[in-house]
Amino acid sequence: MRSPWRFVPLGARYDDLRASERRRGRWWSDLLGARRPGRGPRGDPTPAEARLGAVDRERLGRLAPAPPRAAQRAAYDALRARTPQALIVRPDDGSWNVALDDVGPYGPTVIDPPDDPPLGRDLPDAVHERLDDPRALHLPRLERWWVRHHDGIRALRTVLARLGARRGPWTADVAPWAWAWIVRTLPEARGLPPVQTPAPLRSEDLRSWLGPPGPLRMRGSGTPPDDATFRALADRASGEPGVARAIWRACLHDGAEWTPPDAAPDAPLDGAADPRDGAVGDDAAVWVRSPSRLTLPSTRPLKHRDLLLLHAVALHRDARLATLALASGFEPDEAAALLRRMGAWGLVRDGEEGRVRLAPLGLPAVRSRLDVEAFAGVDE
Amino acid sequence: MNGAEGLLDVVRDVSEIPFLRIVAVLLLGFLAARGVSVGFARLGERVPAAVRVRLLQAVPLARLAIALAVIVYVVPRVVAPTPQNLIAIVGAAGIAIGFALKDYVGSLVAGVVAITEAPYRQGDWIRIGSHYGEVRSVGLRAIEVVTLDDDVVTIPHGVLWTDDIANANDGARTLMVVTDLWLAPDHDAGAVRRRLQEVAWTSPWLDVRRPVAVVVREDPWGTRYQIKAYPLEARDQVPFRSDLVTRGKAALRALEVRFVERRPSAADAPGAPDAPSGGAG
Repeated sequence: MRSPWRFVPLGARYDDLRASERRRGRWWSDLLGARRPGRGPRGDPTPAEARLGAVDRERLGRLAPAPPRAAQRAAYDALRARTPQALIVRPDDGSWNVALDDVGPYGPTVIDPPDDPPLGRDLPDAVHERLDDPRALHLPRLERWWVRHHDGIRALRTVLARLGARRGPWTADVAPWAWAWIVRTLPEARGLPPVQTPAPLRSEDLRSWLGPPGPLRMRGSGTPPDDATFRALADRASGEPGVARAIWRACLHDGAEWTPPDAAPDAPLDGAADPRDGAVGDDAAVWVRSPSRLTLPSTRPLKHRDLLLLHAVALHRDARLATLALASGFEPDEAAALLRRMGAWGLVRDGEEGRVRLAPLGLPAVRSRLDVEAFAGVDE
Repeated sequence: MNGAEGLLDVVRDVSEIPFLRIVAVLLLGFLAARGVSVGFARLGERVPAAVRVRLLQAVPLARLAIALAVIVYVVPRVVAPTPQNLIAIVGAAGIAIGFALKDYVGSLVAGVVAITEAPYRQGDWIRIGSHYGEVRSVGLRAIEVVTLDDDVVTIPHGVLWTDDIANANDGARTLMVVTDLWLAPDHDAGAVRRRLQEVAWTSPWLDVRRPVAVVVREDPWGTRYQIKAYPLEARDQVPFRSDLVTRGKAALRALEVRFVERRPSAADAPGAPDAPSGGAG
């Protein structure tokens, strides 16, 4: 059986998805009104959402596990075996970060990117020498080699030219929005091999990955999550593992249960514990809200000019404030204030060392808004 | 039968005319036309530029349809013409139009032609004579254009018969912005051209899905570089051009290239257009 964790050509990545899974976030539902949390049907035994708590970290780690590193490593090895030279568009959702940042143990020599983009400078001589190495190379995070400014693209252009001319095996990965910019502007992109990207996950794949080890009660029906739940998950995530996992985590609630007021006081619902007794549910009592009912972050508060900064965050994934200010044309103070607001709206989040990245839950809205406002993405 | 009697014969008996209903319909038509203009404009500010352009283009057609509906309702309830009286009325009206209302009626006719042929639409950026700006509304008699200096200029549709109309975006979301830089002739043109191309590529306002071109030519007072590129949407043309000029000059200073001042010409006279050919200047 084909593993869902594999690489496919960028242009064919939606071929195996259903039409509803392939659909990207619709800008009008984001701009004209976010979805509201749903209510259960009449007679719904599910406790009101306000009465449910967050699932503890340990159970969350079991119920929403990280992507399987062994499977991702196998995918990378298979890619190198069939394609000696490969440029990978790494998803924004962080689902392949660990696998692609740490390929050294798999064999290639890793050329780490600089902490900050080299402004006004070309590649250091040391990097030129390493690019001359005939052994297998891997260059992670090519977006760290540039900043969108006329003084910030020289090093990136040199890297791309060297990779295009290189005879030995190599792999490299780049952020999707950065690649969309590169392929439309820089002539050096024409010398690169066809681009690969991780295959999106279908609803069946999500079920086998995130499906619970034991029965979970689902809001509104009291049954374990079924095919419809995972189809809804795949639709909202458009097959992106990191987005799907973030949505899944947001759908899980602690299963403290209670007896409806009109039921007999000594007849607890399905043997559930009365939260007034302070009992806490086990895995069997984790409630799952339908993914189609979840309210995701919206870009509605953003004005047209604000999108320049949001696009800069998408372009430079995991960049620091100075880089984002330069790339967007914002003053640093202004950019910092807007980034704080974007963080409060769930569109971006802080990474390590003062870096800023897109938040997985906000990715559907960010992508649909930037797409419709003429910021070029890889989907075109 | 004289003209005055013929006029009275055309109009229905006063007791047969539903005045209140007519006033109500006129008021309703006015409110509907106003509502369409204001409502679509407000909605257009909330949606992406590509959708806004299509939305605003529908406004003049909607207003025309409302006007026609009101006329079709009101006229038969006021006028009961006989063929003979109609001939007399048309003759009298023709004289009135010919002497007093020629230009007004000409603009009305041009307005209908403009709505159907669409040399300009709401949301388009056009140049008529010395005025360049965004078409804010397309009425039956005239259009309103908001210039880059935030002036509102009312231009009768009658200019359709006499003037050239340059439309920079013609219903599209964006338009080409042409940015000029003049340099002293003694420099490496290839290096400057490559640098300006990088300046354009790295503008945050650039629509990278459209082509970027840097055109070079020699003018008597220096080497002229034209950066031809498209911003994300037409309204971005001002910050886009400002960004190109600001960073272009910074990039060229680093190359130690000298700028020249443009020699005064007829184009600099007061009242001349402040933006040259194409969509911008």
